Amino acid sequence: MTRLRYIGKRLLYVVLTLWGVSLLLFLLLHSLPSSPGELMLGEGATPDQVVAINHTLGYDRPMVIQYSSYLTGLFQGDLGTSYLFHRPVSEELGIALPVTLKLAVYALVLDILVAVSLATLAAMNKNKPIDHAIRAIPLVGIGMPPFWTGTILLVIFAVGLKVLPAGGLQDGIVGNLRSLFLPALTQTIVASAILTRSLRQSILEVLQSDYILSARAKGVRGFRLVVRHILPNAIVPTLSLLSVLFAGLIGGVLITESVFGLPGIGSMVVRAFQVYDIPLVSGITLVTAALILLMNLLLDVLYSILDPRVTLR
Amino acid sequence: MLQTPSLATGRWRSDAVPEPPLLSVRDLSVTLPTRQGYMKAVDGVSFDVPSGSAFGLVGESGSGKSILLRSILGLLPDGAKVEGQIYLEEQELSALSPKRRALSRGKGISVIFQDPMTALNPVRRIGTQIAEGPIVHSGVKRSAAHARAIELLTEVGIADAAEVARRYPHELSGGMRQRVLIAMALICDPKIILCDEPTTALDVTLQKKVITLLERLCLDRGVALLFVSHDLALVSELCDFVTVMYAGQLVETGLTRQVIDSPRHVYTWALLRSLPTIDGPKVAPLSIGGPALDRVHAPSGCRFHPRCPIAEEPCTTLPYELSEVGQGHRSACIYGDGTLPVPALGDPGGAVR
Amino acid sequence: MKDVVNEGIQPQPLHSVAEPAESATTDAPPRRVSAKLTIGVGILAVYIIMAVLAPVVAPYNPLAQQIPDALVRPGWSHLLGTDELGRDVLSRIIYGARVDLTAAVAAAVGACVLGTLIGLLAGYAGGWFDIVLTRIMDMMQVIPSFTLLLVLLLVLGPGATSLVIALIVTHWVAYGRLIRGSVLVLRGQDFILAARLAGLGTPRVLVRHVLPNVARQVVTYLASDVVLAITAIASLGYLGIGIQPPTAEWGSMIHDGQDFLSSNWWLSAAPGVFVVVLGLGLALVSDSFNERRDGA
Repeated sequence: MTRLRYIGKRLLYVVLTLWGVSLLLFLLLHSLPSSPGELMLGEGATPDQVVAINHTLGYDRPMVIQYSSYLTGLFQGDLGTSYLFHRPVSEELGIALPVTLKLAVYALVLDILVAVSLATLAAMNKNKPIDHAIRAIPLVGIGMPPFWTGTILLVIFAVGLKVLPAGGLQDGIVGNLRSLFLPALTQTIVASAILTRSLRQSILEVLQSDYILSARAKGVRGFRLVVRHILPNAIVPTLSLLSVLFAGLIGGVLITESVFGLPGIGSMVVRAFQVYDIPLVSGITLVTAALILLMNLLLDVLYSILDPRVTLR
Repeated sequence: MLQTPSLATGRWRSDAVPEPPLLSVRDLSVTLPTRQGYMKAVDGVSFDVPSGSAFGLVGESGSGKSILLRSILGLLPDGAKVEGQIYLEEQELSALSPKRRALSRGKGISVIFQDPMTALNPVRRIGTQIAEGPIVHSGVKRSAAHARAIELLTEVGIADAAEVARRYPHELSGGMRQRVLIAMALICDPKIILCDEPTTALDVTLQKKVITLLERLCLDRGVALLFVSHDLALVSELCDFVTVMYAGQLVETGLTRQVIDSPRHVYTWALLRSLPTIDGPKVAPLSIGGPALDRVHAPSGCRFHPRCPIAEEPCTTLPYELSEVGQGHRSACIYGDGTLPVPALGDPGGAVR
Repeated sequence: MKDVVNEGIQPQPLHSVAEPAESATTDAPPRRVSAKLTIGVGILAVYIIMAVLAPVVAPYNPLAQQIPDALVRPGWSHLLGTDELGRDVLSRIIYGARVDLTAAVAAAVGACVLGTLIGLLAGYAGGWFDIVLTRIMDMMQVIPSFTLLLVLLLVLGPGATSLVIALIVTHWVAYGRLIRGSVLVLRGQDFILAARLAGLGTPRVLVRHVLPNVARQVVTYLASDVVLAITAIASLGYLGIGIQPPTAEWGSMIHDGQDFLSSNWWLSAAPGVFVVVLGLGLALVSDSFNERRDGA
């Protein structure tokens, strides 16, 4: 089917999945022992106040009705009102989401750059010292929890060498790039470890192929060989790994925000958690799920563009 | 430059070639590391390919013919050790630095590989792949190279060349892909094309078409062919010279007519005998029995002796020696001087014209 | 002309089309026990000893606060110094191994069991069951595990048990998919058919024939899953979620140490190093399992 139709079909699927997620969240979060009213008002509230507020906000209606009104709200972009901030969740997200998105994209770009360079270097020098060195890194890298790596990086670069800011988001493009660098790097260490391994394997397979032999027989070599013949073929199978990786990336980014004090949805969700702010937590969860779904769609489309043999079903 | 009326066998009457050979291989040996130890894939092979001729190299899998091809290109796997020399028009290729060697590929020497599906890059368009050669070598501009690619596609018999140039390899049929490979080989105006079993992956009808095409194009351009195959019948139709390889060694070489009409090595004879016959007296094809080649621990003396039906005591001890048994006709067999007990084993018959 | 002779040893295959990657690129010699495995197992052994024999191995009580002895630098009496409440860091790390490792292993094994069961069911039963379960797995994979963990912890409340349960719910999907995939492949194969024809009932076929074939893949993944679980537990601990202070937990130790980065940086660094080394050990084991599977 044509690409457009495929995208349309996938978007429908995205909506359906999100619906499923929202249902799941709703059921989970409404199985809490305390009612929303209690949570909003806190410990000092009297039972009357609780009943009153539950009634005003409609939390004493039957579950089905609550859910359907929640759903209709969703369609209109209304994700509920935060207990903590007493403002619509969508507003809060509007402020925090861009920060997280920037960090995520930054990390993704770094991941790809690092993975491609290292994997190519390793594969082209198979079994030489540099290959072994590059293969050893992921073993250590995978075990490094982002929050710890972040702390260490902070110590080295911000406190020790004082070259980069010690946290918080600075304004302006340069400020952004500088302050988001360490957080992105933290993520990259883990993600590129996995990506490099897979890509290296992929490149090695491509190197064995006849068409590379053909290209070399034509005289193609060096940079041109890598960029125009090896990589396009090697990247394709790694793309599916990337979609799995992305979910992990988002998770990691959310945690890293707390280490570096970045005002994104990661820090926000932690605070929301601590105060049982259900609308905020579920809103954030829904939004991150949507992000991942869209990214997967993007990757699938990219896959079909890069590999002409793929037919979209 | 000799005027060559056709590439059919029998054109070359004598061994005295008036000009230096185009491609010259001298004492080439290639040693490859394998899990079981080192193996000499190619062992002391020497031959010359005259300009504009079609030179056939025949052998079964494992005989070393494909490795030989790759060593001419300089594209051997890591860890391979090469001894001996390779000359292209007097220039010693084996002495070039890897970089200069790489630059010499495609220009002067072209290759046509066996499997057209895997020899083409699946994610790039046909036109781009064909045009790449001139762009890399001669710095031809993209548009000019593309135009040339389309011209060549038409020459190899592909209708609608411009349309095909825009397609991807998986969208073409096997026969078309093979023609694309031929176009790719010709675009840089090479002096010699190395063919590594170019028709093995095709069915018989296509085989014939592709060979005819190749023949015509090379004739028109005076391009030499080094044609590697396991199919002796095919080689004898197309090539002026035939060289037979076994276990990395050259066991018989000469004009096609000579080798086919009067084989001087038991292996060659056996190959001919194993071809099914269409005309002539019906003789059952002979299969060559015996244990598989152990390439790491080669048998002493003649490597073919474990499978040779008439092997004698001396065959297990005498060292390899290629002797002249006719004009330009050489054989490594002790029966090569004409004492091959052929009637005792049966006539090769009319298997090959 | 037909080739009658088989291949002896073939040099580098030149015209291979679909070559299994492992045979072309495996570097480790398949014969002897690899160094990787020995080192990995060695590392794990150390950690297991730490976890199991904590009361014996640790020099001090991890919870014992000695405020006068706060923030002591590493020395003979306290090998890794003390934290801001005077507690011995080394002892806390050793007890932390007990906490983190137990929880992580429990979570990973639990996820494995749950995922395997569901995967087997989905793959073998097929039909509606399969469709519904697959959709659920799709849905769950789309939610980033961190947020899902938070949601689950909200519902389950604080403490180690809820943490383990939450982790199990978050991690089972990977196993589910793995098993389901393998079952689907194996289902069509002849030996399963033969078993069924011989009259073996479904559960028996599953356990005795399907499982062994999938086992190796699962174990390989299990090792890396424990790493992920440890990272998750420590990350949550760092954020003050999950395992609560004053219990010694690596993540919360790293967090507490952040206030003293410029002076007593090892307070944050040391627990982290232990996490990384554990990860390394598990990765080595997981890797060598992988290699064995391919190379052997």
